[in-house]
Amino acid sequence: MSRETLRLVASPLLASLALAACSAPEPPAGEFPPVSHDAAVAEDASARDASASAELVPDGTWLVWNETSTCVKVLSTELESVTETLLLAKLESSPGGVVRVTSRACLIEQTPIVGVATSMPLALVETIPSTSYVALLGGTAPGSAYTTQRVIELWGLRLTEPEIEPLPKDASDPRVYDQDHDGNPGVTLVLGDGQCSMYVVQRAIAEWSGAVESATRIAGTGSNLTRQVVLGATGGFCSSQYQTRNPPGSARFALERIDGLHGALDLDTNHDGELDCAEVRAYGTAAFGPRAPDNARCVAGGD
Amino acid sequence: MRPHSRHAAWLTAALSLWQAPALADEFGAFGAGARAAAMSGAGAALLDDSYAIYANPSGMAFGRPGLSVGFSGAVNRLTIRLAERPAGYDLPDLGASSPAVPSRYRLHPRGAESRAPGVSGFTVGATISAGVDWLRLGVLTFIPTTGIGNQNSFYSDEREQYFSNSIPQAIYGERLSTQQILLGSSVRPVRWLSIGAGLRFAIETKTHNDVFVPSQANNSVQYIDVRTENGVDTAPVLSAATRLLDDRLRASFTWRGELQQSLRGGNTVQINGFQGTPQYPFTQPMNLVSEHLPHQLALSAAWTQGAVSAAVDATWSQWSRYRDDIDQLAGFHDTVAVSTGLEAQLAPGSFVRGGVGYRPSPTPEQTGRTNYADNSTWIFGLGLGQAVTVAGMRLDLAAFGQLQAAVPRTHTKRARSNPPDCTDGITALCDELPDDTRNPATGKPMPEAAGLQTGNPGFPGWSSGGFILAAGVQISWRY
Repeated sequence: MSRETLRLVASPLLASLALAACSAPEPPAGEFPPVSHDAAVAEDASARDASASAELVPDGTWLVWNETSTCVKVLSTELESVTETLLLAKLESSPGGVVRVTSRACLIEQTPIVGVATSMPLALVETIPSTSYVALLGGTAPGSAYTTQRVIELWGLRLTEPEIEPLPKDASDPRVYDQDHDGNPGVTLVLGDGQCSMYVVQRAIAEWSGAVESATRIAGTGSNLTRQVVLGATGGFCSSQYQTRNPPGSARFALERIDGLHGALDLDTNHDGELDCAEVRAYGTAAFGPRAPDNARCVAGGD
Repeated sequence: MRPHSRHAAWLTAALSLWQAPALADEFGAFGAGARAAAMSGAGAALLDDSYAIYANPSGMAFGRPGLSVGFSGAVNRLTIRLAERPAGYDLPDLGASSPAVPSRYRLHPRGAESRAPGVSGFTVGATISAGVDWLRLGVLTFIPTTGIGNQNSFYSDEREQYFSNSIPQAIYGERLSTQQILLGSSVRPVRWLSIGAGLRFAIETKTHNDVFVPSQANNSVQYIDVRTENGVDTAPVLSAATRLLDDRLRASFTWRGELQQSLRGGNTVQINGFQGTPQYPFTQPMNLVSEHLPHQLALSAAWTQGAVSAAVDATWSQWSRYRDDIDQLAGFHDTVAVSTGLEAQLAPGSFVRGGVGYRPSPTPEQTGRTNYADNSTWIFGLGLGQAVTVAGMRLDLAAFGQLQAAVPRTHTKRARSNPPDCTDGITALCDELPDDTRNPATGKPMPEAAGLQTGNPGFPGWSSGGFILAAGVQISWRY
């Protein structure tokens, strides 16, 4: 091999070695300045720890308060409606932190949209089937984690695969039944001051996670996904199938012990030894600090 | 050629669709065999031995049958450097009230630098004529020393913080260490034209496992039934080659179909305590793609004048259909890679080879949620060939060295005044802790949730570059 040939083949190799001599270049500094957060939460946590020292005993009767958010598209604008739900729940604990929760709905209230509220008659609320699910309790001391599995609630329909089965779109679908016994398919919701009624089926899936706050209270946040299908209506805007969605991270919950044990409230106001939905409704939602609707929560994010 | 021979040739080509190659990323990255690797992947139209099965199967019918064995290895110095994280973007540690696993609990600390693994392995190839001058059948294998059937996966976004907490090479990392088995055939119906056809195939695993967790208190104990089936994904390969002007002009055209090595299925899980609820049992779907080879069209042309041959190759790759490790469309774009090579015969049986190529990266700048690391690459090759006679047999010895120099690149995550929450379909850098998150213990707003919280390994930016240095030897016997 001649010297010229060697030079010919070696030149690009040397050039490439020079190019590759450096590893990756210095990484960019980025567009994000350092930030600091105030210590309010740490203060809150320490205050909580000081005020709550007793340990929680799950077994007993509790009141469950759920607050969820729904964004409804009206004339190309999304408006928020906040739903407050009160449920009466029995908690039974098992070894390993497993808690079985059996609950039934007592009250559902929804904030109005453009001045029109959707009311959930008691005939509807009291016929919602009771729900059983499992929660995991990381401990009994304040601060211990509390997490539920996905809680599925069906209105006016029976599904073989409650979580994934497509919802019926027609009242004649055999999975639809007259839950509130008013002669109409599914359940009947009343809009406004009796302006019109709509017959719907609904699937709500929620997950909750929080922490033990005291011996008588567990609280936290959650995510929920509710899908509703209008099967029929008496007319007017009840016939419309509005687009809805549940903004992420907007749901809250609290469990309050209400059977008078372990320092808890006793809501058995008629002293019959049983807690019922009437007593829960009389207690109401105000103690949980429900929030007002905020349409800013319905502003979509992301690319 | 007599008419019935010509018909037989076409029939053989059609039948060979049911045979042929398997995974080929090693050959795609460096070139198939010492000759092509020395020419930076160029010269498909010149190949006529078992290594042609990858680049141009039709070329086999122009060459003598033979047997070839080789060994190659690559030192992978492709490097990713992560920018230092600014303060205030970690997932906060609020004890039991933490709404997400705090950043300080990551199993692997986020290092300043990560490197891709090297690769080495043996190649074995052979072609036979079965006594028919116009017919060749061939096999070519690459057996990595790191093992056969390896399947690795990574998340391309913030989820990887819980695992390696780094950024892997999207294409030229673990995926290079994939075994290859290529089968092919070619026929030459007329003296100046050859056609080849075959199939590539990859391991396709289906798994379904039944899991029972007897105690919530001790999740490390599980009972499991495993059901795994291994099959193959197949992709066709078609090629045609011609030699004109007394074999001075050679050209070939090859189409390689898309191929995936995958693991799909899931687990059905029963947990004691969940019985009687819709989550008993629940399913955990699994869709992993450990190798994705795109559709490719490769054109090659070579001119031989005296003792010197020059070749130029161009390969179009349909990266826009690329599925990443978790079977998501990665948003890559199609590319055209170009390489040129020279081969000179210095003396009878003595060759020197060299080449230069450029392979553009299919990945766009990673300003959002994902971290697909890849660089455009200059490829420089150099090699020697020498014929020797041993015990009356002529053996061709070849060696190559190849340098792939990555064009340095930086990525900066784009800042947004209101980063979106991390949910399905979000492509921007996302907030793992929504701003309206409340402290579960107090119900009060959480100041730590304000603004952006992310454990994305690529935040706030990163750079990539470096090189791969490959070398190999090969011995061939033509008869």
